[in-house]
Amino acid sequence: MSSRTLARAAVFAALYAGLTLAPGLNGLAYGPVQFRAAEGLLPFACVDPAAVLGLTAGTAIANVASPMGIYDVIFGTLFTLVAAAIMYRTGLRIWALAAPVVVNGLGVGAELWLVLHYPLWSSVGWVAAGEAGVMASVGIVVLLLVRRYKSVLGLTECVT
Amino acid sequence: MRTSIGQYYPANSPLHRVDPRAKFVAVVVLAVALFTRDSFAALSIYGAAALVAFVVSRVPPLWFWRGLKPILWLVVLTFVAQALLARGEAFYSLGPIHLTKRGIELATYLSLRLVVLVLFGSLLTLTTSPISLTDALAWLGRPLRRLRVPSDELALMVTIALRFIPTLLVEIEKIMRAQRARGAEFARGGPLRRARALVPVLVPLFVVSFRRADDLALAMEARCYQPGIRRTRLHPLVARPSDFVVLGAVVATIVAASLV
Repeated sequence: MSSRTLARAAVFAALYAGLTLAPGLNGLAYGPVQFRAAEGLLPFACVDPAAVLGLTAGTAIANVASPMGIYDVIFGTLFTLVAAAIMYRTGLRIWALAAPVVVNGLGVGAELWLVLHYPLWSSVGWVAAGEAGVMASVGIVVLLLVRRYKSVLGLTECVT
Repeated sequence: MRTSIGQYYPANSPLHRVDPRAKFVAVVVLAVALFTRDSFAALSIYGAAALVAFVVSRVPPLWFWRGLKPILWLVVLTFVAQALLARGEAFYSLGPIHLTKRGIELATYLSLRLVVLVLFGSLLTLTTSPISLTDALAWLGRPLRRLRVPSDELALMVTIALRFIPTLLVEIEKIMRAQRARGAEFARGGPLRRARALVPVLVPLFVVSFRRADDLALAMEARCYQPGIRRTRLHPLVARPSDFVVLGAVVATIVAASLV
């Protein structure tokens, strides 16, 4: 891992954790009905491997404040890693936005079912709906920005 | 703009002095053990252990309350959901709503367990600085290096990220003010319009953030940082007898909870 990848990943992690923990945004970042605006950063993972690492680390930092504690730190982070890795494989395509909806919907929904005994499929549905809401608003805007301003953001020169 | 990442409370209590690795392992083991037995008696043992640890930590109760406050809605939601969803003989019915003894018991148990889980997590984050916690994770992740997982680099990444969060939050506030001064409105219209209103904030934010990252990478290389090489630490982690006392207390708690 080059110094540049490491520094960029750290900035992605800071952006994710900052946007999740920021007052006003943290109220709906956890639980069965969640709208985590920071998930909208995931389209960066389509083009930048540093974003895959950084957004995963950012989830771990943000989930320290989760009511589900260590379970969310471990499994929530793993779900972001899987979603980001799938997005990296798919590239900058609109349907890449489905990856976090499916992975987090199923994963976090199952986590809520196991830890808090919420009904499985309604948890999956609510989490997926919240994630779909983020992807349909912030996610799509970031995806289009990354497409349009790829060179301005230095995303064409990524070195791992 | 303030955030409370881990809400570290600086003090010099016996719990603050415990090695972060021991505290992390203790909390993980307790969080897992909490889910292995479903009984009020076992839960009360874990709750009592958390309360003893709180007293030892010398953290003001207000700080714990601050940690609990944001999750109260989830506790209430969990209680209501379980109370209404559990099956059994209803002792009270109002239209489609049926309350059962089993439902109320389950709702109380799960809500209390969630509170105890949050208390264990708060104990770790209130008595351990984020940097110490990162050091502990880097040490605990060392075996993963054999699987080519760059645990030291990941720990450094988290340390840099923690340093960057307040800076980026200030940056977001500055950009939003600058765009408001140019007539931007962020809290008007439907979700699509609000999302589009974010564009003038996101583009400069990303540009500034990535520029900072490039500057940082340059500064690291200028100071001879080489990825993949084992780094030395100013304050190396050293295990002390008190750390093993804490781990022993955790084992005793779990044994007591499994016996009741």
